[in-house]
Amino acid sequence: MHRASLLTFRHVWVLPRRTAQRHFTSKPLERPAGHAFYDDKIIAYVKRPIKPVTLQQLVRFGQPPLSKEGLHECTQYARTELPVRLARRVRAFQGLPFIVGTNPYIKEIYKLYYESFESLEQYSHNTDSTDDHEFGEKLKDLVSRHTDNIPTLARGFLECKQYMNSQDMAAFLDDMIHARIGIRLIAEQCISLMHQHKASENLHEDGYIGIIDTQLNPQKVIKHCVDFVSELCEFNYGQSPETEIDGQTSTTFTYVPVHLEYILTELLKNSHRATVEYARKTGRPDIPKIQITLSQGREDIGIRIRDQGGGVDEEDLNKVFEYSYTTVASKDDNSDPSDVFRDMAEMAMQSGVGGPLAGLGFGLPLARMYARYFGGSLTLVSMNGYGCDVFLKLKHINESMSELEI
Amino acid sequence: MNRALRLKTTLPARPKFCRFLSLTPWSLKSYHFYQNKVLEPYVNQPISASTLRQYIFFGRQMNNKRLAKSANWVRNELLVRLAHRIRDFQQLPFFVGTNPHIKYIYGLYWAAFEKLRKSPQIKTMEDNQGFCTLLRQLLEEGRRVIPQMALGVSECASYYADDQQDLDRFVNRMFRSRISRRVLTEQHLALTEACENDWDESMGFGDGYIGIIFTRCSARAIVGKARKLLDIQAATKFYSHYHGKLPPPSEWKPPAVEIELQPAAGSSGNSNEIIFAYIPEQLEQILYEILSNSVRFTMANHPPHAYPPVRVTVSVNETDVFFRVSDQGGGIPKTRFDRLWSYQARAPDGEFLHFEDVQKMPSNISERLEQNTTDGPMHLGMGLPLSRVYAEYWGGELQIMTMDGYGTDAYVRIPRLGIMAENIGFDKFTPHQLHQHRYTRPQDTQSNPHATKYHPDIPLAAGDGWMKSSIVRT
Repeated sequence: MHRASLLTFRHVWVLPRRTAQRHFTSKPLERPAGHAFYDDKIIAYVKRPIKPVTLQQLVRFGQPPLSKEGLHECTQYARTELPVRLARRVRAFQGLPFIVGTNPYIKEIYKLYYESFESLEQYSHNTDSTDDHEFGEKLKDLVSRHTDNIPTLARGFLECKQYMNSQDMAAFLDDMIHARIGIRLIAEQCISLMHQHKASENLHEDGYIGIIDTQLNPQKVIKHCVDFVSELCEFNYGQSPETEIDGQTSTTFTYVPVHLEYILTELLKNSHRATVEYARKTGRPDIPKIQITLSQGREDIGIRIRDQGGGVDEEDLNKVFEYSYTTVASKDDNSDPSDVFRDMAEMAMQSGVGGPLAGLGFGLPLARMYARYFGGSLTLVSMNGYGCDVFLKLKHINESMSELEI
Repeated sequence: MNRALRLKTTLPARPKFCRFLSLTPWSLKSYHFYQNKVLEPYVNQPISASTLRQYIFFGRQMNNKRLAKSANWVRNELLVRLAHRIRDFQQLPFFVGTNPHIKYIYGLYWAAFEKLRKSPQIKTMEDNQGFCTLLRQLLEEGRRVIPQMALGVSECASYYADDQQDLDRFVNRMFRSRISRRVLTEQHLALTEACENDWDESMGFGDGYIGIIFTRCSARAIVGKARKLLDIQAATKFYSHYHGKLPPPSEWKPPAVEIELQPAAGSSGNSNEIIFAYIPEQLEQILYEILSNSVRFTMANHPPHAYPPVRVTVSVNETDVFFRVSDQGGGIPKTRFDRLWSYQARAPDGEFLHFEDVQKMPSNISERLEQNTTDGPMHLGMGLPLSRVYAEYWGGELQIMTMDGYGTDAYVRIPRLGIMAENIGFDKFTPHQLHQHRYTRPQDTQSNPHATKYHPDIPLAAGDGWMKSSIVRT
């Protein structure tokens, strides 16, 4: 059984669920470990400058009517650009302290990037479209194999906390995640346009230009995320708070749905967990509901998530946007860290967009990075002893963002 | 004449305030530079910032015998604070200092300083009477400062570069210092009155009040008071402004202000009350200002029969009391929101020009309501920043978050233990911020005696002049 791919994502509102099986079918790297040291290809690609694409171009590639030329332009760009960016990711990993690089989780992701680079690199040499289809398949493969990079890295860095100072780690992760968003955007846009071209769908009705939805209705996305997180919460705690959505609910704007989903899921996870745990801690019989409010401003849309989860005290507040900082008590602190397989299996069951309800400490920094990617913002206000208000502001992806470079 | 246009002319017409100028412009005379030495003995004393608890403790022990001693302490402390303030003025760029409004305030401060300096030491109750009369005079005169400050900032803002927030920081220091002197003054006057009346309950100095501090402020009562006053404003001034003629129909009601209290988890006692020690007038001003904005904008953006309520949530933990005011008044557009807390950024748009018609700033809500006639301007423009200065005075804060198109949330955090020292108005610089070319570090002057010495209290820190938040992270 394979999970629903990202392409059918918007038609089937089911978040991809992972099976334990997926990760372990990849063949281990068969070359000797020292191979990377002598690999000139990486260095050659790293030396090339990054050619950023503006958001406008990305959208324009897929502007209706989607022509063969437009699609070709997009694919061409992806062929030449992606290997460069992947090579840089590999290089970044190579810059980590040696001991960190030997951590199995981190090594796994490093290998993944290396393999992806090698698999895509061969397509950057020719410029005709004969192997576009093959290239498309490779892209899909890239996207699906890298889906759970973040939780894996999170786990890895958690284990490496003592070997790296937090500033270096934060710099690495910021860089990595920012680049990852860009790589995926380009790849997914390309895949999506290929698919649209093949299916020759009428873009006007759909509102989609590749993975960008020009008629995204946040209320729908919120409801969907709420359902998902609520279920997760019930599963973990046996109960879940109610959620109410109010404000300018008929708002629509242009955005990348997956991004919004990701951010909302992380924020809702925090709210749900905090609400249930605080209600229990204070002996409150009823669970206060979570209030979500939508607004449509001149320049951006706003989503406010208001909970009564007890808030965050000042000390924690200072670290709340740091990687690997979590207020969740680690339940298996005394577990054997070398018990890699058990942990990986556990993670595999729970990771992905619908990851563990909390605990890896990556939720907020990640959500913020996604929010900021297109010029938005994420602000947390804490009334310690009462609850938190989280303000998510997202800009409409439109003409004014034409200069934004991916 | 279009007010915005007026600001762009290089020389304003003879300012209206000149008619009320009762001070000799002796500050312009050259001997003033040498007179400056009278400041020295006071400028060299550090400011003592107290905590609310210390004020309460000190005030509880007040009696006629101790009053004289306390009066002398107040006299000296006022002189010290004024001296530091004057010195801060003297560090302003010369160009700014020549602005007539700034010069006027500078003159006011010197006059106050001189009057106090020349006043005698207090030894008897009669002396204290005289001292109190002087204090009342100074309080009254001091009400001229803010309107002048607003106009001065309006005219000087363009002198500074966009990223240079010196003037903002200066104004905040000035406001903080001003509040600190008023607190000292009003407290002494209140304690004097209490002593004269033998702490008579009927005078309002019964259980709970220590001068202007009330040890049993009730969150609900304070919000309730602000709301009642606001209802009157809404029915008169706001209604006429937004819906035309007065009076409103009998079935009309102003926007509802709903209060929800959330006492600390597991706290015993009445769950309907949150009690703490504070200066109620300060909190009333803050909440009145915020609620006023909420009600005003709710009325502006909704039909009179369908006002969405303004929701106030009060919560408390071990150290703080929180007031959250959420409205659906349409929110604040980004351009305005980004400049909400900067006097410099707002001045060029003519935001403070209404102060031309205001000679004296109201010092409490009742005075404010009196002055705020139905025909007058809707707002003067300083309410929010002033409220924030008040909130930060005892270590609290005021933050505003907005959702453009929907509404605004205001968060007020008030420390409830009374253990935070007064925020007097002198930012502390950090060593790695001492890089501005105008100033040198103290150790540098030892090696280079010709290097400019700096006043230790003049802040060199970067920043927008507001305290770091302990409730907002972005």
